[in-house]
Amino acid sequence: MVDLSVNIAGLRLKNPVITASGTYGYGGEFADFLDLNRLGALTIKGVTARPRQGNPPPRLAETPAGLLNAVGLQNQGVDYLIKEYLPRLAKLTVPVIVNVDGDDPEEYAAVIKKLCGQKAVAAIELNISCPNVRKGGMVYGVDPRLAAELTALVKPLCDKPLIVKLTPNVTDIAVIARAVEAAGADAVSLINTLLGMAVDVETQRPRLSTITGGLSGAAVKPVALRMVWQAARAVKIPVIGMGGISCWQDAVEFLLAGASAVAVGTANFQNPLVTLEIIDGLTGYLKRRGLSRVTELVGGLLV
Amino acid sequence: MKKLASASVISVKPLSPACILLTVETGDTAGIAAGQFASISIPGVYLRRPFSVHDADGAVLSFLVKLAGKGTRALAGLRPADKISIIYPLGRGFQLSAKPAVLVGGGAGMAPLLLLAKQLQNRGIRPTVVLGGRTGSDIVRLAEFARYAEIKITTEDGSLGVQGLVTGELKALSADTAVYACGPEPMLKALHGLAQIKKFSLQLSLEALMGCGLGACLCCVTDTRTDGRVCVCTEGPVFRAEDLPW
Repeated sequence: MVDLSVNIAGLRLKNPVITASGTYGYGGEFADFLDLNRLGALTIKGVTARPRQGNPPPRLAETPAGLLNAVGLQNQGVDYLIKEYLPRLAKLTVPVIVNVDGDDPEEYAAVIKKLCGQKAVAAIELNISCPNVRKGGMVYGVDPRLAAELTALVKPLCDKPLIVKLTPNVTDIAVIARAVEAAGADAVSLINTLLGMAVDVETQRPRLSTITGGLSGAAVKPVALRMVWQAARAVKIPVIGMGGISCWQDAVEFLLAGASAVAVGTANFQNPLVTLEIIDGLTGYLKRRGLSRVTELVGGLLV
Repeated sequence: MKKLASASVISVKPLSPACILLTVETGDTAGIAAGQFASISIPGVYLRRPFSVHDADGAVLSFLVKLAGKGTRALAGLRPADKISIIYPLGRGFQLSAKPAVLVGGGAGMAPLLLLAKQLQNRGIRPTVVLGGRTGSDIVRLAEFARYAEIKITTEDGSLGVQGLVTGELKALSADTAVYACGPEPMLKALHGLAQIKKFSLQLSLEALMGCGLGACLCCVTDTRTDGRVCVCTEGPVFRAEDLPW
C-alpha cells in the first residue's frame, strides 16, 4: 500500500488531488460521475459578500489547448452559500476549501468572518488573483505590499488554514509568495489564469465581452510548473500547484517541482473522471518507483 | 441522472454537403426530453461540444451535425465502431404542451425537433413542423419528420418550398398554439416578436459556447428577465420566450 496522504498547513488530505475553484461549481455538478469523497479536497466557486452577476456574455473563447474565460466571479453571495450549499457539502467527508473574493479588504474580511464558524469549511483560499474583475482580485495579487496587507488583515479573523491563491501575471512570483508568507499565509496556491485575449477575424471584435480574459488548460502548464518551482524554492509554507494539469504525469511534475498537492481545473470539463484517474495514476507511479509515500516526491526534482 | 459513456459509432451519414447524421450506440436513452443535449468529446479540439439529441431510440442516439469547423469535420471523419466519449442527457428540454403544436427549425436548428415531434405524437398531438433554410439542401430528414408531423418548408432562395423565411408561415397562428423553436438567433428574435403580437406560447432553444456543459464554470450564461444571468447548459438550452429580455 502506498500512502497518498498529505498535510497542507494542518489540513490533512487523503490524497493530493484537489479541484480548482471555478471549474467544479459546488461539487454537485460532478456527483453523477464520481464519488466526491474520493477527492483529496474540493475547492468551490469563489464567493463574495453580496451576490454578483459577473460579466456579460460572451465569457468563453476556446484556444488550441485551453480556454479563455471572463466569468467575473458570478456567485450568489456568502449568505446563500452558507444557507444552500454548505449544508449539503457538510454531508461529505471530503474537506471543502472555500475560495473568497472581494472588491476591497472589508469585503474579504466580511466573507471570511461569516465562513469562520462554518464546520463545513476546512480551509479558506484567499483569491487575490482573479483577472476578470475591475476591483479586488488581481489588483492585490500583483503588488507584494497590498498582497501582504490583505493577508495580514484576514489571517487573524479565522483559525482555519489560510491558502493565498496567486496570479501568474507578475514579474517575480517569488517576491509575492514570500510577501504573503511573511504576512501569515499558511499555504499558497498557484497559478490562477494567465491574462489573454482572442479576436474574431470575421467580426473584427474581441471574443470576450471584457476584451481580455483568463487562460487556463493544458496551454498554461509549462508556465504554471515554472512558477510553482520558483514559489516552492522561495517559501517554507506548502505550495498547491495548478495550471493545466490533465493527467497523473502532469501531477507528478508539479509534485517534483515542489508542490505539496495539486489542483485540477479545466481538465474536468474534458473528462469528469480525470481527478480519479490522476489519483490512480499516482498510486501506480509510486508503486512502480518503489516509493511508499507521495510526500517523498515533493520537491524531489533532480537538478 | 447524467451519464458519462463511451459510445460506439454506428454510422456517419452525409445528408447534404454541410450536414451529417451521426448515430451512436450508448447505454440507456430512456427519459431523454426533446431539447436536451449531449456533450461530445472530439479528438483534436480542446473542449467537448454540445449537440441536441436528434433522435433517441433504445440504446441508440443520433445527432444532426452541421459542418461548421474543425470539430464537426472531425466528427464527420468518424467510422463505425469508433468510440467517442459522451455525457448525456444535459440541460432542460422542451415542456410539452397539450395545445396544437408548431415546431420551427432554422437550418441546423431542426436537430432537436425530430425527437420533439415524436414525443408530441406519443401524446396524441400531430404537430406541424416548419423547416427553414437558405437553400433546398439545408432541408434534411424530410421522410423522418413526415412520420410524426405535417411539414412546411421555406427557403430564402425559393429552391424548395415557399420562398421566404419561416416567420412568413406563422402569421396566421392563433393564440391557442404552442410554438417550439430552434435556430439562428435572428430567427428566434423574430419569432419572439411575432409571439408578442399573436400571443402564442413560445419556447426557444438557445445555442451557446459551453465550457463544462454541467453548470460548473458559468461560461455559457444568457440574460433573463427575472433571474439574472443563468447557464444555458443547465437552465436551458430551452427557455420560455417571455423569460428572455429580448
